Amino acid sequence: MAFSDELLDEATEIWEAQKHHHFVVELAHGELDEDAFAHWVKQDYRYLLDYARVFAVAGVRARDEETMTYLMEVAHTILDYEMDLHREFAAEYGLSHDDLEDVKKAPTCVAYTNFLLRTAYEGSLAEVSAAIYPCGQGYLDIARHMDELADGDHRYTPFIDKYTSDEFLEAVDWMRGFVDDCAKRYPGEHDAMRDAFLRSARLEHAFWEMCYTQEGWEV
Amino acid sequence: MTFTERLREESAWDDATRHRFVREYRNGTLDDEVFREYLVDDYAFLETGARVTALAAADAPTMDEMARLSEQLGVLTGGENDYFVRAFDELGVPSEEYEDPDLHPTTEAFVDFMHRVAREGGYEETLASILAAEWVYLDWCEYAAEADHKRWYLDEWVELHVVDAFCEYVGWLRGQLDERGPRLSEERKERVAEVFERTVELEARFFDAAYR
Repeated sequence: MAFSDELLDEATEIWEAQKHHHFVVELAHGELDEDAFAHWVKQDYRYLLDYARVFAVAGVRARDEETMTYLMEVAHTILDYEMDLHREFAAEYGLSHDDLEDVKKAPTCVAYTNFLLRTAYEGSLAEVSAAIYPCGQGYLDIARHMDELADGDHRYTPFIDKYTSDEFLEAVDWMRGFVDDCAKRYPGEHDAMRDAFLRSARLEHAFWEMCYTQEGWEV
Repeated sequence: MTFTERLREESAWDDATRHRFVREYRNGTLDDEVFREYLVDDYAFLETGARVTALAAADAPTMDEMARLSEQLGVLTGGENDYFVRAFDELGVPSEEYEDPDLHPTTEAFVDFMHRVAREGGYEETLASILAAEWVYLDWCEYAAEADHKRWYLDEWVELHVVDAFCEYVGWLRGQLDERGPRLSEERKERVAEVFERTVELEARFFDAAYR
């Protein structure tokens, strides 16, 4: 069994919890509160910028040219393309560029991005591969699940389309390959990879909850 | 008002330093179970304190600051440790529980925050997070130390954080930022203030976590 499958097996409970989360189910049916969705758009925008940083830092730390090239390419693609795409996506839901720039990361978003960045700086490349994977695989699986639940088009269909697209699938396939490759190259890192993977997976679940409750700072 | 007084003023200082945990500590009603939870996570946090102090030393502008910070690193990796072992023994916490703890998400978020600041921020940002954490301890422990606890591990814990050497260290940290803070660009001043504010907030949540 591929190591990425082992990780996914271990995270079954977390994946199920994501699939059953109110945010996910209500979005799939087109019934999700608009403010909760806007919260996702804003927080995800902030997340994405840090996600690019994670790839950039990991790219600096990678030893072989192929891995460096890929990681740097992802960082560049996020900054040069995905951020624009996200801004366009946000505009469709009435959120301007300024709205997005004014966003302050909510506690869960801070916790998640800080975990990723700390792993990028201090963890092994194998740990980084496992930490970034739940975001990709999670969105793919959850969006496919949403697609099954959905009954016809609605205002959130573009969200589902985005994360069930071939383009996204290709990106996730690479992440999966990166995890499996690291697992083969660094057998001593399996436990650390598992911990990093589960931590990110839990934070993915917490991210839905953050959006659903429109979490902010208490003081 | 000095730079660090302003930092404190603009943070949710009382939320952390007069938290329910602190009030119960002072009036002697703090549950052992709550203190136990707190101490297990704090023990894990000690390592973060030490690592972040080491990163601050590496970023320090001159050997003088490096010397002071590495002296503190010696304290963090030495003295307090013995207290933890004795206190865990008394509270019946087995070593596998405190050496390999199942940390509360709040503690994990706090640890990751401190590490990222120390990696990405400059000397002043790192000091701001260290100062906020240490100063909160000094303040709440001074407040809690006024009580007689009848439980040695409670007494000793606050005493550790009100001794002259610790007060002096907090004073030194404040001096560093009072001197260097005003010279920073407006943008970095804001970042330093944000780090300080966030650390204080996380201290309050850290107390919350003990009541899980």
